[in-house]
Amino acid sequence: MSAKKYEQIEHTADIGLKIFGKDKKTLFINAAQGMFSLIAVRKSAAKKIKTSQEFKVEVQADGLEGLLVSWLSELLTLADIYSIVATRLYVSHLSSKSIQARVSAEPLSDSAYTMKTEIKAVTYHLLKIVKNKTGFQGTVFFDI
Amino acid sequence: METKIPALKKLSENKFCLSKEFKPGMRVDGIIYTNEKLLPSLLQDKALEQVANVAFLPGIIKHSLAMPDIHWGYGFPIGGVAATDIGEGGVVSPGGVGFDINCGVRLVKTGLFQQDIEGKLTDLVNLLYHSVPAGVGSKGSLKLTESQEKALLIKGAKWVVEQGYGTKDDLECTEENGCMKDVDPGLISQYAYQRGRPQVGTLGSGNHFLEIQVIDKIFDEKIAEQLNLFETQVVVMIHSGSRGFGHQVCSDYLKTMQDCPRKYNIKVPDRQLACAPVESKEGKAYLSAMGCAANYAWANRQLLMHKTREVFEKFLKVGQNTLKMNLIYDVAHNIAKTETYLVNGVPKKLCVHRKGATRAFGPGRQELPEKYRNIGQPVIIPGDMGRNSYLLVGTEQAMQETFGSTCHGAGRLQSRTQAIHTLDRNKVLKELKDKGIEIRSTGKETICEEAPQAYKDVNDIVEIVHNAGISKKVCRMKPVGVIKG
Repeated sequence: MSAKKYEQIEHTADIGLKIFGKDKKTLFINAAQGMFSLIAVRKSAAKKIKTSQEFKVEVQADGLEGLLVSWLSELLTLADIYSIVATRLYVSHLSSKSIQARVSAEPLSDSAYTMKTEIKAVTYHLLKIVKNKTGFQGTVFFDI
Repeated sequence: METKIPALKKLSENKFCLSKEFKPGMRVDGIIYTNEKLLPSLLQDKALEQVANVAFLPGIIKHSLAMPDIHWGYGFPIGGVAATDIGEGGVVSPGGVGFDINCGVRLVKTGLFQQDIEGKLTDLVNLLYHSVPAGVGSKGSLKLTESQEKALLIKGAKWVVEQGYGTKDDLECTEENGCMKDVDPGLISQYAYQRGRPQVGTLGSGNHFLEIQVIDKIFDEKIAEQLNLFETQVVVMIHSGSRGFGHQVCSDYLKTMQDCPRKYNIKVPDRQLACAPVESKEGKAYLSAMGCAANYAWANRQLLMHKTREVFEKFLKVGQNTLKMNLIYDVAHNIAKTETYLVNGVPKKLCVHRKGATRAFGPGRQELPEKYRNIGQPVIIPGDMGRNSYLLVGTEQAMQETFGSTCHGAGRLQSRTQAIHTLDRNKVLKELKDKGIEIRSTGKETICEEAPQAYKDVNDIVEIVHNAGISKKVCRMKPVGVIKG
């Protein structure tokens, strides 16, 4: 069984994610996948989309936790502008102040996806990244 | 009543005080409008802690206020109101407005009564559902160029009316006439422009809605009559905000402001409360950008109303002379504004944050249209999709106690995940159908997330603000047709 990537956290008005990763790069990738899972879910019967779009993502912030918000915010913005869902994420560089990544994405179409929730934004509310025995664990909340 | 929290004391039936002893660093006490029935739900999460955190803001005047629909937000609680003294280094916090800048609600009356739509409701709701863009990834019918978008950001709803989508009377019946003045679209990021362009005229998802409602109770005959509102009359309520444009503006400025507490030596206990003095470069820039987003939201609701009017005309095959779909009022419930109040007898310019709270100006205020100046500002309080919504008016007491503010809705009781896991979608739909409510939604989980059980009873909330005197009941509506994202 593969390791758990993320799980939802209860919040009265919004949705939070607890994210797990064996290293920081995996944590950031899993956070992105968790966020997209809240927006829409791929229909199991949907055909594979042949044409995918590629995006280069580079963001900076002051500290790893702030960087997680900036990274997810950047992906959310791209998803909203281009109506896409990220399908593959490759992080080429990650420090406590910057991240560089390549993102493959496919159109967020009614035929391939079941729409769930529109995420308004990524918040700094109870934002946390901690190191533990198995790697890293993060907490992030979304405004929906 | 003694609560388990020693710093929380009952002041009256509908008002509690959270004293500064609750958390070191609070500059003022918190005042919470609630009652003993609702208090336990308030203590379930960390909303009270957030009332205390807001009291840390430099320049805060009188109290950190919370309306009875208070629930756990981020930074400010939802239902939070705070005013800071601009002349005394008072701050503005994007977290005191929220991501959905100028999320708000408008109420449109019609010349129709319940019997006029009986037997036609299903078709009318279907037509609205297919005509009004809603849900994840929806796009509006108005394709803006960048220069048109800039004009919209400067003029707000007025720009939309100039394009032929509404009337001068609509603007008069919109808070701020649908336009925050002196805004600079040069302070807006390209991302915000890109997100905003295709989304104007879209409802959104989550708790945003368009509802056909019927007035089922009048509380103040005189005011209702002045507003031309009567029992069984059909009205339309629209709840939406500044869409991706506003979300981007807030995210952009929240990031910019992360450095400000250090730069201006401000201590706040939550990063989401990052703030800057109103008169600082960052404070001024945020307020100007926020004004652009507020204008976007008013333009958005104006377009949504126009589309609704078109659908009613098309469906009923009659013009507006017969339909008389006039705007009663449009209110913002996520906004920060400069307003003047007497503080210890001296007029002071304050930055009033309303996060999930509604302006509720009392009679006589110059900001109100002349036709409403004798009754006070109409205040629109949406409930959940199975219970009621209300029309209230603002009061002089609100001017004295809450910087002219009142509640904004029912307030969530259950988390979305809890609602999805405990409620059965088909059962919720059946219960609504049995009550005579037609509902359409694009989102798979919206029905459970937004089910009446997930919300506090708006009737309880409104009773508190009415009894506390910070607004006054005019009439109550019940939903009959609901469009959700």
